[in-house]
Amino acid sequence: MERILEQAPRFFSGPNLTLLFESAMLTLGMTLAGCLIGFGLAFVLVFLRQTPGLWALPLRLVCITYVEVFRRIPFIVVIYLVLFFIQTVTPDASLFTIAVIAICLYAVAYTADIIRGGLESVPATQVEAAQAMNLSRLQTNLRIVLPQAWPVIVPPAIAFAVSFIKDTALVSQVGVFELTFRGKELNNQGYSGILVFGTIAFATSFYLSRSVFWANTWRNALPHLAVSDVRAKYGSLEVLKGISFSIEKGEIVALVGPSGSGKSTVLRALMGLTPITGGDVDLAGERLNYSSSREVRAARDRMAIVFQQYNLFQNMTVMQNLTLAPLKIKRWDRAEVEAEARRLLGLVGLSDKIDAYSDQLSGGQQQRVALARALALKPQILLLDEVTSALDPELVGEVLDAIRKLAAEGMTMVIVSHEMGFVREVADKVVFMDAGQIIEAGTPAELFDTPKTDRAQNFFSNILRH
Amino acid sequence: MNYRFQFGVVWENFPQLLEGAWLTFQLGVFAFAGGAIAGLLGAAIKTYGPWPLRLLVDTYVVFITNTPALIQIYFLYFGLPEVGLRWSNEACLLIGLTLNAGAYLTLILRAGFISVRVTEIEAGQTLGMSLIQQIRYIVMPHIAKSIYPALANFFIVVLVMGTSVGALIGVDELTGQAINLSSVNYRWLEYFTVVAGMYVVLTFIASIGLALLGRWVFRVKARIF
Repeated sequence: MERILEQAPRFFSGPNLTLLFESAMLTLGMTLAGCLIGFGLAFVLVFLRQTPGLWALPLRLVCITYVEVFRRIPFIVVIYLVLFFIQTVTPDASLFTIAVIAICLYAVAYTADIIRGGLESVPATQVEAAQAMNLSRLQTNLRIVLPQAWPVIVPPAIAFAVSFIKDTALVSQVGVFELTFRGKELNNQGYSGILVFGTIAFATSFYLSRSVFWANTWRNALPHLAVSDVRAKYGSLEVLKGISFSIEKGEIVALVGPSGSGKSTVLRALMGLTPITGGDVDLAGERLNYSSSREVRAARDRMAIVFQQYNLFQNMTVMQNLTLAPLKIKRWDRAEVEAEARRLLGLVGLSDKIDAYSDQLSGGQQQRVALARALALKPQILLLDEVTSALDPELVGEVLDAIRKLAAEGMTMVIVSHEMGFVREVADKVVFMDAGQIIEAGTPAELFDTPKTDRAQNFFSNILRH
Repeated sequence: MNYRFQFGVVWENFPQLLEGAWLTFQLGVFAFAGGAIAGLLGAAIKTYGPWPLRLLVDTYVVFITNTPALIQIYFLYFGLPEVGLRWSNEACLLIGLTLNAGAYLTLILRAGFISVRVTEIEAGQTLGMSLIQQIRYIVMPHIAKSIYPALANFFIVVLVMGTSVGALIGVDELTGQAINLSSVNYRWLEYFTVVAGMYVVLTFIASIGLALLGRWVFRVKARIF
């Protein structure tokens, strides 16, 4: 113990920390380079593995074997194999290169599984639709499958790289000057092992664990949404041409209009899912700024959206679906979160399904869970995007009932719906949109019974005739 | 490249490699078993414990899961003698691996704990079960089923990645044996090729064993491959 105390000033003041920092950067660079190259190669591997036809069977077998084998041998063995193999082939290869190759070979095996999982998560119907248009396999993958699989692939791939930084400690064994090697060197120079490895452990753990820590910016301000002159584009097509409306607390606004009029886009823009190219959104007197991902997150923190496809997490129970974000993202107290989840499930009439998985629920029940899940985050405003459109007519009623109860509770909502009877009943204000513009707005009675514009008149008379 | 592979010398020393494989297997089983006990304790504390203990477990998990296993084992190996504890290399490795596995298993088991229905635990309470009994008779059977595949996977990780770290502090497990033997006659490539194959075989046996165990004992259809 005295030894540590005596050495500590010398250890922390000398060039040692700089050396350790440099080698930490080397570790990082090595891992990043290896993982990035490996990630690219893994795509090739997955693509080869999917090659159809009998002639490609050996190819597929090789790919499968590669992944299976590399997942079953220790990294240190891979390092040694690469080291001695490369040194027999080109004796003057640098140790850094060798380390990167070893990391890369290993990363290929692990990320290939992640990529395959991501690609398989894209519904087969999407691929069939692409094939029906005569897209080649490569085109289908590049244009249809990959863009959809990307969000599924990237997070676990990054998680793998981050955790693999730890395993690269093993390359110290072959003499690469990375963090662990430096540590051992310092230990050999007579510094206390507790001091050296304790410092390294503490530093790595601090930096790796700091990655997800969000300040809780939740404020209980008055929810009052003002949307003014909001514009949005898909490519060069302007889908929102200056939308303005406002909601008081506890009000319900319904957006109605023909398909493609931009109703859903308004909701998506509010959530920051579709970039806003102009205009302002004020929530509770504060300007929401969608310029950075942090600002978008702050906006999402205060609103919640429910989609036509309920998008429940398939691997979780109803309860887990409800508590995931409050516990993991907001880090609220478990007991409170669970109590609130129970209350919400009671509200939507699903108290008996707390531990069911989503595939055990009907569409209507799933949609009600999705409603409760959105509410579990205590949003200031709830956005509902055609929540009943994917449901059997029989099941529509139960979801609408749940929304009615929310309305009775004073929840502020923006609803996009084709259920005109329902809109008329619950909405305080109806906004009629067409081709990215607001044509007319007013109370339900005004719009449904005495629309002022021809376009609205046409629309409502067509609908009401059916 | 005019390298001639000579596997003859490897086969001559194959019994020693087998010994190494046996030690690897033992280390893997013991580290996993020890880690499972630590993880069970950690998960139980995280779920039911008072906040100071929860904080302690959280710190343990965050610290261990965010540092390289090698650094942890070096810490024990180079650090402990300084405070007068002289453990054998095997003991250092085993304790390091157990602590390491304990943290990851806390996370895995904790997920299982949460998945248990509260109503079932309440039913257990009304039957007068103690906390230990609730865990033993209600929580554990649930966990066994829901997280068995994750546990089986993690066992392979301990068996392969975990134990091989021992080679770096002079434990003669499979990788260690390969390093020892090949530094005698410099047949590194041959030795490591064979050892890689042995790891594959070892883990395949373990995977199949675990799949059968899962099916018979826990009635889980674990997809191992």
